[in-house]
Amino acid sequence: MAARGRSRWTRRDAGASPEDRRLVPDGGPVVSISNVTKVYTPYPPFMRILLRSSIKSSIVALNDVSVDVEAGSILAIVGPNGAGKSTLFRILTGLTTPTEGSATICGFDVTSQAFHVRSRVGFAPADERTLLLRHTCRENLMFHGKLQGMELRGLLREVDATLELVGLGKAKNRAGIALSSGMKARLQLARALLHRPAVLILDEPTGAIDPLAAYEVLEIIKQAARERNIATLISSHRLEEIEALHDNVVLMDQGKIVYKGDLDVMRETWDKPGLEIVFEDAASATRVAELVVNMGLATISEHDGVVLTLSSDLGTGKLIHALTGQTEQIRSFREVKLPLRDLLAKILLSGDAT
Amino acid sequence: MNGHPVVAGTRRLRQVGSAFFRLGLQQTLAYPLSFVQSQLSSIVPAIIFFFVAKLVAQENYYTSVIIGLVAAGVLDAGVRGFTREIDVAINRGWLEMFLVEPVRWRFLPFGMALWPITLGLASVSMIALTAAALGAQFRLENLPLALVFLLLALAAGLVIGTLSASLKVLAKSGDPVLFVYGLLTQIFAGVYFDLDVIPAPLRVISWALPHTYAIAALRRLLLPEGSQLPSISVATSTWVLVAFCVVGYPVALWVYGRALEYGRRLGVLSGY
Repeated sequence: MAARGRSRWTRRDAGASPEDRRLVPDGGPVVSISNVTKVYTPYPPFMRILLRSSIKSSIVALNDVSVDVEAGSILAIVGPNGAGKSTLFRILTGLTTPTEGSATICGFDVTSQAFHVRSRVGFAPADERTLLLRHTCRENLMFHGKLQGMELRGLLREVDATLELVGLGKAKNRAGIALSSGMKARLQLARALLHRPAVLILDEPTGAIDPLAAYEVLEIIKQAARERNIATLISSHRLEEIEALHDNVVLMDQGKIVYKGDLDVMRETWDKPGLEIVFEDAASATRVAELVVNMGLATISEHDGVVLTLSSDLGTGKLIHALTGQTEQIRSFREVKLPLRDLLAKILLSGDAT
Repeated sequence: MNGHPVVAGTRRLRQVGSAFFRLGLQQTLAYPLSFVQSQLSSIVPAIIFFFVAKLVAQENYYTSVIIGLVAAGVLDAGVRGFTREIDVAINRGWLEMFLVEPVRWRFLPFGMALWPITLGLASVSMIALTAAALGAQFRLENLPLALVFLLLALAAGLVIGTLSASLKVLAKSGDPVLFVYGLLTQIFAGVYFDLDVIPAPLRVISWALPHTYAIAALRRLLLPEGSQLPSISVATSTWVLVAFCVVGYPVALWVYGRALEYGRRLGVLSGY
């Protein structure tokens, strides 16, 4: 049985059946998404009377997406707007259904058993308006806890503990409207964590906050995922955050998975580190630049005065060796990794990462 | 015994209801002036019809209209409570979160309607008390029976409210069901005048509305000479409303469930 963070309180789950207590088999993925496709179609005529839609022809929001997430691991989902991240999260939380394929959470089908799925998922949407902004942090969590079926006595304890966990212990009686953006992000996270879910789904949890606050939120997420053994799916546009998570990444574009796997492996596969050389004078830098281009040793990524950045398949050692005779004018050099943003752009533009 | 599905379901319903009731209460108290204004404005009809009654100069007209307003107010609390809360949830961005909570979607109409119903009942009480202070005469010995009947009217209102909410979750804005129903009840339910005033062929519409039966029965129960009225009996009204609830509620819940499933498939539940 996959170990999961068990709550100290007992759940009151109306209509709970033996099936309701289904758990994940040993070592199996907590979240399993198999060949999921979602096509948004234009509204039928009667719906267009009720609600205007911008969809004029069918849109494939997800195209044959398959991915598993195991307990305790974090899966970062990255992609440009319209990549399909939010649609994927909506399917997992039961807000919409896949057109084809299936997904399970803790063994429950997200389409036909969405009710059972919802007590096992902690969801933090990107929109902070989902918080009860006129209510205190405590009231926000109390309301959510009751809807989760938590008993009052245990709930009071859990609310305080969760607010402490996310660093809102001292602000527990402050109204949502009076919180900073960073604190609101923490409150969203607290709400998602309160009922000790097996799965956390976080849609851009750091989207509107400053880098320092984002770092702290990510640390809480990492700690919770590790200590409570939660399978976590997180989408983010902040690529440095994805890098900081040091875990698996799914790169999506136009509904498809472009890359899936370990971030380090992705770097090894796609990132050819550049070599940044600082010369004593600009003339030496120019001479070496001409030399490497003429000899076909490398391409010039950047040439700014005395600084020359080379990109080569040779590797740093061989490139330095090839420059023998020119090294006297070198003041310093270092290996430069491609920024994650550029790396992802490179993969997306190549179109054949998988 | 606690594990019995009915007991567990009832307890869960109570828990969901108390969560939403508290949410509504806190939300209302967050805007105190708005609350006071809405309660004060609810007594305005009681004052307006006090003067209109002087013009009409018909015996018991004032009390008759007040009973009509009270009955319609209670029904409307049921009719509009859930839809209004759906509207609030959509506008404030909460609906998405409510729908991802492990609450059976069929429990949401009960839970979300509780607070607005309470507010509606408070407004209706204000009307009745104001009218009593201005001289309306009620047969107080029938008050307990009238209150039971009002509960039945409330349940009937919830049937229509749930049907209305079914469209609301898809349409997001506007209440097509309530628009039509509200229009019909204003004209044909006999809130402000006797049904005899309405041309006979159009009275078919009146008798198709639960409001008409609730108003007719309450007038028979509470007007000083209500038992002499030529309208249908309290027993008949009761049976009609009971039948409406017994048949209508499962149908309304089914339609509401289908609407949510349809919205889910279409992908409009989380959009505004």
